[in-house]
Amino acid sequence: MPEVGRNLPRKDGVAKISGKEPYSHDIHLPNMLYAAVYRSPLAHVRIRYVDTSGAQALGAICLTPQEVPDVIYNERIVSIPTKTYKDRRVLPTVARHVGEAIVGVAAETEELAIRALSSLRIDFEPLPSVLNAEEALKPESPKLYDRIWLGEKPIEMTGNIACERHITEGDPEAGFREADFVVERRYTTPRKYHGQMETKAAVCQPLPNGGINVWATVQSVHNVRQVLGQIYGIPLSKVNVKKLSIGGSFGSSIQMNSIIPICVGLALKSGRPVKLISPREDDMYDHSHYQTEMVLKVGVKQDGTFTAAKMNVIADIGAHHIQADALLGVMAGWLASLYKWKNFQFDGQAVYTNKVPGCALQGFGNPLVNFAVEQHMDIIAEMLGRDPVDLRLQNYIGEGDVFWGQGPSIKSIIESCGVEEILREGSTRIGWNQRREPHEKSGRYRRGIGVARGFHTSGTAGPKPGDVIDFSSATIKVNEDGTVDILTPVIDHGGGTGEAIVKIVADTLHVPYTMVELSDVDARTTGYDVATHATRGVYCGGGAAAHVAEEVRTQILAMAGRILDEEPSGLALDLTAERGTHVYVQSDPNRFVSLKDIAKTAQIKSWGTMAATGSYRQSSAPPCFMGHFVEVEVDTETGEVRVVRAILLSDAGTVVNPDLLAGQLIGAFARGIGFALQEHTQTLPSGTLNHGGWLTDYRMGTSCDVPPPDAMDVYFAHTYESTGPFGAKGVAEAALSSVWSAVANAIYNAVGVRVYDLPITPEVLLEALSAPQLIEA
Amino acid sequence: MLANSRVLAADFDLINPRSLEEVLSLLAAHGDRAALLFGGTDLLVQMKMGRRSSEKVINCRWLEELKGIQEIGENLEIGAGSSLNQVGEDERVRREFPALEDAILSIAGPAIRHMGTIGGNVVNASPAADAVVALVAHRARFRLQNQTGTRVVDSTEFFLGPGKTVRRPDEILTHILLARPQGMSVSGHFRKVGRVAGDIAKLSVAVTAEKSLVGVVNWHVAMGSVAPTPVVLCEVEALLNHNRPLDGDITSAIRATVAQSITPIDDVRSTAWYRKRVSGVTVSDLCEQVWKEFEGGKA
Repeated sequence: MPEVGRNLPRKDGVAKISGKEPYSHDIHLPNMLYAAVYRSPLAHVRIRYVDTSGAQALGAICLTPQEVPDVIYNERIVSIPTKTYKDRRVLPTVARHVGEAIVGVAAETEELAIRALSSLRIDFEPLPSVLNAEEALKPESPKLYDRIWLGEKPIEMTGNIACERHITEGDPEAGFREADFVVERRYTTPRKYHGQMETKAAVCQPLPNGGINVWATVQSVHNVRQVLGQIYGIPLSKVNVKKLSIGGSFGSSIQMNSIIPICVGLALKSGRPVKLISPREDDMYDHSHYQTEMVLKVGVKQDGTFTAAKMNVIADIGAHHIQADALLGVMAGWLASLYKWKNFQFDGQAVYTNKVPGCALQGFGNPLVNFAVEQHMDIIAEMLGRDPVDLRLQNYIGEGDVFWGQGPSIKSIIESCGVEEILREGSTRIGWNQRREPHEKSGRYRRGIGVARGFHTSGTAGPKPGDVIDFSSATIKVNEDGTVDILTPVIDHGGGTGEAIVKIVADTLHVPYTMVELSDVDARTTGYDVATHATRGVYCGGGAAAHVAEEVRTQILAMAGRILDEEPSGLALDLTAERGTHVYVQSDPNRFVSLKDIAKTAQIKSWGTMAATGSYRQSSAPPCFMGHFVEVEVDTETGEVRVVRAILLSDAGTVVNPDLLAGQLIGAFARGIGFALQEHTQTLPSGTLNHGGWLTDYRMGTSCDVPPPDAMDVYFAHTYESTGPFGAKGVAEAALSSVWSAVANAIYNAVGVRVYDLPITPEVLLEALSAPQLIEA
Repeated sequence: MLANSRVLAADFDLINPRSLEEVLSLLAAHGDRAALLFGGTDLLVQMKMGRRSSEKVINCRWLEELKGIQEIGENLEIGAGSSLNQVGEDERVRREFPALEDAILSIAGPAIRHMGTIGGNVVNASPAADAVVALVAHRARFRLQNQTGTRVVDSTEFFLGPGKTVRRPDEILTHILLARPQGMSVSGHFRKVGRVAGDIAKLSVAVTAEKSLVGVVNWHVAMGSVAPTPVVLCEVEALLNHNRPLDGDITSAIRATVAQSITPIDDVRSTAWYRKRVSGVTVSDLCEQVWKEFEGGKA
């Protein structure tokens, strides 16, 4: 029985539930200092001078903007260098948002470090600030940068546009002329916080040879290693970044976290290990999700076929360009890959503002585009008098079509597609046929059912290299007792990527799950992996592990051949209850040798270790599809929305970890409800956040705010992705992609009011319910 | 940006008195410069955030004299140092002061309710304090003590504004007095409108009433988070107490009255407009719920 597809105990389960699993917060080194960070109180300010004498008098060691290397970098190196925009230093001489780190301080205790922060005297020159994208686009608005860099090329800035992308396919204008109807709407999504459980932490140990060891919250040990090497001018062979468990991330650590190079700078200056933990408040001032405005225009014929789609996007990226160019590319891709528009145009601008920097959050623009497109689908269906599910089935992009979710440079042909199964099964389970129109409902409490479908990519690889780097590595070796060690650089965010890789290797080598373990590794002991992002952990990281395991399998057969005196081509590897993992002679199955004996013999006879190291790039980036059918109840007197029932349907190809997949679907749904109905970060005119960075004032939903377990139904489509390990694709980000739209569509079905701006808070909905002119006929 | 909720960096003296008497003498000596620490769920957070600084922190957490719930005369006397869980789980509280039980169960989660105390919830004087709204509806009285003696203040007169009460710097809240209901049966409910479960209230309502031989009497209605202090909705109470049974006309009148009795603001949790709109609905909903329980014989 294969291990892939079975529910098995997590490898890190006992350590995690017993509190013994080390996270970066738990690393303690002898003689360690503790650090804290002074952050800008103003939205835009030049730092003229930092007087550290007061802090030094308290025994603190300070790191000022004058003392960090004058290196401009981008903390995210997922894109190829020529597509990487650079605009930041470890500590800036001009702070561009409230909360930007200005000075690092290390002391004997964390308390002392925080007290030392109050002793800093900083001479500020306040600069005019701009706090929204619309303002920032005006020529007279204050400019954030005079110059930024694209790769090694300087860009002289004339305004605040960080980058733009214009992508056209076909002839959109001709398409709109052909249309019987053209539907245009404006949708907005707000800034919001990642809300990962673990706040960022870093520990840096300076080494006598000039090198550093780093334990930190990361999504990629290799990228962090490279950025640190680049900033501090240390050869990579002397920079090591350890792989640790991470308490969630939701995209907020794809890039190197801003505190890591500060911690390193303090360690190098003090010559002692330094630990820097972000308090939650600092973290909330460190990263945000992008705020976007999307104007979507779709041309459609009376028969429901589309003739053109055009989307204009303005993304407020905040004070730093972390990945805005890629964001616009993927937003175009998500739009292009949802339905057969025939003609297509995307125009996006990413705009600097004096706000907390925006970065990817579970889906990287996908749920945003989905919020627009999937509401648009319902609007069009209603206009045409069509069933919303049917209209989707008529137009979706599926098997045999081109998918380019990760942007125009990453195109794949879809070979596995569960869209139809998802929509049909979901309809049956929710009782779609019994769904009534809004005008048929009355009374204070009204229920509505909504559908939305989405997807995400599985990784960013493909038949040819694109703008984004994508490959992974693995080292696998067979120990002398027949157990197996995996050295993988792939970070598990908590979703079970590690267990998936173990199962994939176990099944490739026919070794039981219990005899395969993940080794403690770091950047030094592993080959490169780009990052656990883009829903690529299982498909790309697992794909690389499967590829390397095949090589180990070849070695096992070769060693067995020496023992059995047979050609390896006549041998087979198998696992049975009686023999365990063994190699047998295909023409004479009674002749066999166990893997344990092969490994032991290879050692005793000094033949060597059966092991392989390799890297592998997937040849595709297949979409994992998703569908949400949601029932809500709206209290029309208070505007409160309760999600009462949901069907969550995924197409992840072969399901590697069924329980964990169900958990991921439910978890993303729970979070999605919060994003749909509640969560948003507003920047006040002072540049501070409306919640002040306090989690008590940025509320995220609880288990009480989701439907009870028996009202959430999880379904896995029956597909097989032949390019993936054992048929698997990704799922992680897909799980969130269509939640907001499904909730918004369900609210419309309940009360006949459509809200185009997230979040749909009770305040917003009650106001909309009180304004009858907003109700669409 | 110097504040955080992770590390308490401020310097202070932590004093661990062994008796109430010792607390009183410490308060007499340090008064304004001292803070009383019970559960710490508000105080320590405020100190970490730099919203409050105290040279002396007097730790009352372990004082048994201030814990426990006793029936004394016509009152239930709740020690100010009793944990929220202890109060919420008390059989007498659940039977006779159901709105208080409701309110306590709506506070944060079990861990916070284990640490937080009923006295802390009162003295912290947050306009959004959940238990306080129920205590005001139950017409609780608060016993304050200093070295010279004790005094008892009505809950309706105790609060002066956010974080401000009539407690003098040398006084400690020792007990919460709840007059035990004399009617045949009692009902009460608390409802909080929050952004999510366990949230700080956008608005909150507590309604209590008793059933006597003449009908449903002694209606008390209080609200939180809609003014600087808890609000007693006297006019709503009058409508309820003078009109029986509760019908559609009265609930409409209640809705119209509530908005005039409150002075909510815009803040991070909600808007003044929303609070005004929804307060009337929530109050009338809760009054109906209480009424129906008497009608249905549940209370």
